[in-house]
Amino acid sequence: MTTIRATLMKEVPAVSLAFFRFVFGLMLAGGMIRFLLKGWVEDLYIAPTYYFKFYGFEFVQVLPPWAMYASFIVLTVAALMVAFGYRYKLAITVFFFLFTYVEMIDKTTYLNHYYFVSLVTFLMIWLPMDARYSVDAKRCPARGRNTVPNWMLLALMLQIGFVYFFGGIAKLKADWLLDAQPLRIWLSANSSFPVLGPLLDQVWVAYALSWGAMIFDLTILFVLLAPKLRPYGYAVLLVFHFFTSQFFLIGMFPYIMSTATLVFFSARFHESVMRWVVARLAWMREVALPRAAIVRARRPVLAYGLTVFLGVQVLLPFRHLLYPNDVTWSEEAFRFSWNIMLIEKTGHVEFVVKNVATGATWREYPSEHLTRLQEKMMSTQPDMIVEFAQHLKEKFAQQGIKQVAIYADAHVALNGRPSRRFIDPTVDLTTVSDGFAPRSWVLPFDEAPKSLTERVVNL
Amino acid sequence: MKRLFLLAVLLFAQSCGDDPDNGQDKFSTFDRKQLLSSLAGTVIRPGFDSLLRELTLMEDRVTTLTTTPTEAAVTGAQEQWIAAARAWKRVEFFKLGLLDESLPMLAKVDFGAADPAKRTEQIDSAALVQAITTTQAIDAAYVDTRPATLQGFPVLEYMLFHAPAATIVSELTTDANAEARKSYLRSAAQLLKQKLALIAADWAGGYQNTFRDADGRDIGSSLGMLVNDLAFLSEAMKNEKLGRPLGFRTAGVKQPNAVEARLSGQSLVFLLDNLQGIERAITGDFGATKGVGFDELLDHLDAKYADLKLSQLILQQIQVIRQKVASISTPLPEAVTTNTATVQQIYDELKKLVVLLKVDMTNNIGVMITYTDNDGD
Repeated sequence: MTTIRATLMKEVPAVSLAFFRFVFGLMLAGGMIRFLLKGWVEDLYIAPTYYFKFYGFEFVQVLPPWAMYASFIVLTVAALMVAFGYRYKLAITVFFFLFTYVEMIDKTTYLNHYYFVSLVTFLMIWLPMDARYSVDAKRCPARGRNTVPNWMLLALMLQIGFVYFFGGIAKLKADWLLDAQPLRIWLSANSSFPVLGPLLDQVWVAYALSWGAMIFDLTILFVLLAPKLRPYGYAVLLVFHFFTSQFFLIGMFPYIMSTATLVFFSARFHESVMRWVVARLAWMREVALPRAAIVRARRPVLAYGLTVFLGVQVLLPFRHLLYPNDVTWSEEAFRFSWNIMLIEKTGHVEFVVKNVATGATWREYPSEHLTRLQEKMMSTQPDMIVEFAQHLKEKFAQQGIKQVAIYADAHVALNGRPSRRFIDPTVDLTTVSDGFAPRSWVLPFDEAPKSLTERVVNL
Repeated sequence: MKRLFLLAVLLFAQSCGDDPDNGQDKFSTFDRKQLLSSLAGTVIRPGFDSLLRELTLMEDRVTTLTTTPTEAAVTGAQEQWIAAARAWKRVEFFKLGLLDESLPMLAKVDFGAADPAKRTEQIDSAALVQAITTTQAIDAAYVDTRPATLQGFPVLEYMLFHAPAATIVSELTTDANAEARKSYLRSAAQLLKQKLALIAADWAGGYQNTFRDADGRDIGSSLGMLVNDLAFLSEAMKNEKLGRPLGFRTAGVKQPNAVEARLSGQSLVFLLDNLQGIERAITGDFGATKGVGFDELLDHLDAKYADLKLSQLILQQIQVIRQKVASISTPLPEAVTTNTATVQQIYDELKKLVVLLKVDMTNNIGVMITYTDNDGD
């Protein structure tokens, strides 16, 4: 007990936090600029006429086009201010709230790595990341600190490690381990990849990579925490992220994670990187090394707060155990659970609309109302299908058709299995609502994916 | 950690080694470049070449009609328009190269192919009259500057079919605008042929290599575009060619006249030709000429649907739709009101085909139809 306490309370060099702030800030700025250059502000926040809401956050509205562009410019500037430690607290707070707001506009755009960015930037608000190598510390040396309590650094490391660890837990699924799906589909489509191509076509490679990725994810946090194993672990990590960046269209994620995990390295390494940086950026150079002896009040409230923050994240990925359906099929508790690259899911949905007053029946096609990305995402996600049906109902009400029943004619294929009916075609979706209760309108997926234990027992 | 990884690799290398289904030989003979170059050589290029031949014949018949306008010449031109349009319907979904949706060419050939929601729009006769009453010389270049709705297959259909043959003849002989109308008709036929000649030449030139080499599976790859085009056409057939006349787009009020090719009465014929185009892409065959098609890719990926091969199921479903269409003996506008149940059945069977192509085929190939980053959720 005392050793744990001693480990947590030990003072460690503040430079590690400064290093993370610098590289992560730059990555975020790069990500925001890339988002602007790809034209995604237009595609995702201007083109749609309807946005899918998150449960409990229905009030979040998109801003006019100029303000959406302005938001991304503000995000870029804030990320750069974070990197250089200029008015750090303000910058990181603005970044966290604005970024999280943008992500909450439309459920369609949910990505685990955006969720990760929100979590990390939230954490960064509370940590003295600008204690060293920052414009703030230079302007106001009293803000500088040479050391910070170890628990602050550990909280950051855990936050990063959670992505891998719970990503690994999420891979403990029958499809992933016993059928090597969906990797099998994805890899065999890469058979023209230079040199390795022919190998990727072989089934055993898909199995090896599925199991390898699972073991990697589950262990890498601990490997990186052990100084002796760290260089090897990091080398494997680089190879892992290199291949995922080549095979999958996952954007910045591999680069963000490859840089973020550098925080596990020694303070000496961080110090030398930052010295190299400030040697080139004179205006960031510290006047003098802050005195080590600045002892602030220990902050029990913050420490307990962060424990709760991380503790909740430990529980969230297990929410799916509370639901009878398979999480990859009905997607209850699918988001915020590090279900990364686990499903190849394809769907088709059209809506059968019945005017209750006249008995007239017709069809509504999502492509009339949604962008291609929104339609694609909705076709496999039950909560979005229900939300859209209710949106249609409102539309008809505006047109004077007050009483409608709306049914989904939906088919979905999951991980190379034959397509099957997804939503109960007899349920009028205007009569259901999606909350935390199990989604009774999603048809059960009897054949599979069965849970891992069930499959192993039946082997 | 590394040892564990190696162990996993070895374990699975061994346990799968003796499984004949998973051996290397079956896979090593297959590659996507071969599929793409076979599709280009066996299906796509012969398809466009045959379309070009039909269009050349059509230009002749139209020239005959405009030189000596008789009812027999009208019938001759009509028959050849149908032959050419049918050849077009068989290649319609290859929206690649010069026919890429982002280029104006596709809409100028057939505006309904570019935007299926407009497919059943009728030609505005007033706009046509306006287009031919001009002081400019009416030639192919002039037609090219007119709106897409006054070009390509649709305008030719209108000019050849919109009235009884005798009326068409009088429009080309005694009408005030007869000369200008003849020029417009001839120029539109000529321009359409020129466009298809460009497309055929483009395929014969560099584009077939570009097409073959884009062998990834992202949205811009040939495979990605083909899968997308297959899904797009089958959905357009369902939603627009059948759903719209059935009233599915108009709150249940039937629209018998909102069918494709209403004037020439070829709605169902074109539907079958579209279907044949899809079938050729799946089999990779063109009549008696055999080639590599999506069926080989799907079989290679071991795409199954219960006990059936997915490729077989797709081809079976195409047959089912054919039989259902054949059971309708009246033109589609009539069938929509007198034989609603059967038309609705064709719709349902087409929907099954859409699911097989858009959901099952896409899922098994793992084509990455993504518009932004993705991490698989």
